[in-house]
Amino acid sequence: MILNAYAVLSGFVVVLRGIAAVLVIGLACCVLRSRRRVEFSPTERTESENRFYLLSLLSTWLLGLSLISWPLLYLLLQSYVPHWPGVMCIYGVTQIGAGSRGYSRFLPGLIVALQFLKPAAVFVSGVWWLLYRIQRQTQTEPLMGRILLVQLGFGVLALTDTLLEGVYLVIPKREEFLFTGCCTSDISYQSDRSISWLASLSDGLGPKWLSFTFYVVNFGLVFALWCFRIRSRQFEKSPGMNLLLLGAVLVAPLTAAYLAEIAAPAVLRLPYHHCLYDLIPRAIDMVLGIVLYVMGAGCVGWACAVRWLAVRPETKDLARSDQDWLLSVGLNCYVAALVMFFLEVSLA
Amino acid sequence: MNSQRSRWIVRAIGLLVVVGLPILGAWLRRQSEQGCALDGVRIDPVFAVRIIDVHGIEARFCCLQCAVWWVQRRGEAPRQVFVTDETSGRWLDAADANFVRSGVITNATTGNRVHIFQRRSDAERHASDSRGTILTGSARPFENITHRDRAN
Repeated sequence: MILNAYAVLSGFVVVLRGIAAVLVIGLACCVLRSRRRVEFSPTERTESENRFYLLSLLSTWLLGLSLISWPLLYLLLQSYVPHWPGVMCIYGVTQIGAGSRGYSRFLPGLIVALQFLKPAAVFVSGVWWLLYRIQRQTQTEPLMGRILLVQLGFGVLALTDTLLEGVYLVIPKREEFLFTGCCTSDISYQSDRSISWLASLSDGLGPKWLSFTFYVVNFGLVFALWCFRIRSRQFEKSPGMNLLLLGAVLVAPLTAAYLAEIAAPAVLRLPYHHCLYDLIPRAIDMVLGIVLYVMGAGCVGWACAVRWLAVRPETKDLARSDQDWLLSVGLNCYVAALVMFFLEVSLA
Repeated sequence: MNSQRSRWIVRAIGLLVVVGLPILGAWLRRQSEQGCALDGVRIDPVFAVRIIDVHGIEARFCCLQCAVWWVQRRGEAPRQVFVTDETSGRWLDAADANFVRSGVITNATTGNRVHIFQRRSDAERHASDSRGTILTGSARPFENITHRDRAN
């Protein structure tokens, strides 16, 4: 275990998140079970309502901690870089333990899992928050069951993420065989790409076509978002919204390939170094662009979630207004991110 | 009226951030000290290598190994290669340098063990102190380039 300021902070957040996640799961199960009962005495009803309010408060607390823990993971990994002489950036840290026989062989897998679980937890917590926000404006609590299920899912995701992060922090990382990659000592001139499938996507298209395809496809997505935003009522019953989400998901690998293969080497002025992790310490403005892009994709996902989960006779108008608002935010985030990417690469 | 005004203010701030940050970031990165052209790490002047490519553009490297990899990736022979004498810290043409492969690593990231000296006596002393070998013939880095330079 490497003990530094970020490890202590991460450990503290892990403990707090773990407690909050267990409480959220427990209370969500309690409220779900009590809701199955047909008859309520006034005392039981008050108790159930109080539990739900406590659950909502805890979920908000867990949401905040989940948001904090996401960038904190990368700060932690960055703080580990100087601990190995052959490691140059976060990518090298993510490969520590690969090929070793001890417990540290799980470290690369844990990092990959954490990098997927954290955004998933934030996304699900966002869905919960939107449903809760809509329900608060109604009289009959029409979304209660769905809110509780989403809260339960959020709690399970957050608990899994917390447990894995705790295990990652505790597993010893010293004196382990070091995997060789783009940012580790046995670098070879053939293996300069940290993510092979991004490299093959880039090689398949070529740098110019990759840039062209990236901008065309993304501006197509922005145009589609704009159309939905201004004519949302016309598309209310069409499957277009789902197609938009599918588009946002399918565009993500292309964007990752563009960022790793074109943008990062240009911005860092390292033409043979294709590593997104290097942007964190050296080009934080580019990281902001990536955050905006992820937020744009998240907003499309949340708008779809609202459409799937929040449309009931009583909440129809509220859901529609939230959906429009999310599409607006998503559109602005996408445009801002694309403008930032274009400027960053052009000015590099 | 007030809400419309505040909306415009928010939009203006957003635009300023979206356009201003990349400009500021690019400017700051240009001002900052240029790192190794291969992996971006800080360059220790004692081990620095300078390459001038066929277009006359200069690239600096943190160690000899980075420079060798960079040339291999470019696939075209550079016009000139300058290396640093570890004893004096002075630049010298790679053709005139004495290269010693020893157990002492100059850069942990690349694992470079090749040391560079202008004087033969310094190279021999380092080789005997750290059980190294003076590189000769095709074992010398940039040998093809330095031969061509001599021929020219």
